[in-house]
Amino acid sequence: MSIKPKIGIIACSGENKIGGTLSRAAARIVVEKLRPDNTIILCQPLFMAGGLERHGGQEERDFAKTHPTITIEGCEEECAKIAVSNYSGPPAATIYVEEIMKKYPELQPKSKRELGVNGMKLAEKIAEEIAKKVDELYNK
Amino acid sequence: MVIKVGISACTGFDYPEASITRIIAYKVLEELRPDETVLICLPALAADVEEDIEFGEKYPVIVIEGCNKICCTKIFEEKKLAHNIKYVYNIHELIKEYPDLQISSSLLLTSKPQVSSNLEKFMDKIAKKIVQDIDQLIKEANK
Repeated sequence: MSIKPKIGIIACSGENKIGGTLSRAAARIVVEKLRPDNTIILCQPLFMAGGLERHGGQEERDFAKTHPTITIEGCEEECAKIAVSNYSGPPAATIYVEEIMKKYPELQPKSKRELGVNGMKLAEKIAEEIAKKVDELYNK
Repeated sequence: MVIKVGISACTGFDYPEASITRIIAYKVLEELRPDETVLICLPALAADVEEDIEFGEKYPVIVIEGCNKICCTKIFEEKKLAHNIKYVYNIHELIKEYPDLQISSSLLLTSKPQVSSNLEKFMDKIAKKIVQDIDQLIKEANK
């Protein structure tokens, strides 16, 4: 029996836009509920702080070099993708939260601080799309 | 020039301390000193987004770290902006001073993190200390 490597999930951790909050919530839903055996969260700030000599996230960077990694982008700046590309190579896939938000205009999050019922439903929808991508990569 | 104070907080989401950091930052930025502060978004700073780099260059900064890995400080160092960090709060260390605080993973995945009244008091206390620092920094800048 072969053991398949886990897939890294690195989500926008921005605080300035609702996309950041949704990215984080969706990533946690994937890793805790939808695909707990196949995925692992890579901490974005730790990843960016990097460098073992600085007690930073070298483990995160090395993981993303050797494992398929999905970036979840909260806005058009693509900070997670830039970080992974800079330090570990191109990510295996990128999910754009704002594009998924447009598909569900009826699900309006309450605020950045508190997603509310509709915001959590939207996070579940985003998580489902991430899980689909996980399956595609895992079954390759 | 109107002086503001930049607030940069741990944006991790794998540790309860990161959630606490985030709530404190929101309290300061949105409730207590909305007109005197700007959020410096950590991932954006790391990705060289112009606005966040500009804030980091222009304003004194208060950093709220979630743990001892001090990612915010390291990213400011990498961007050669660490000289603008005036105060650092490390939530992981500060919590140790309050052994009765209950920190659980329920802070992680919820629409609104479940916060005990003790933890709420702790967060209010830290937020008020940060506000004192903000007021002091603005006073000094306007001298």
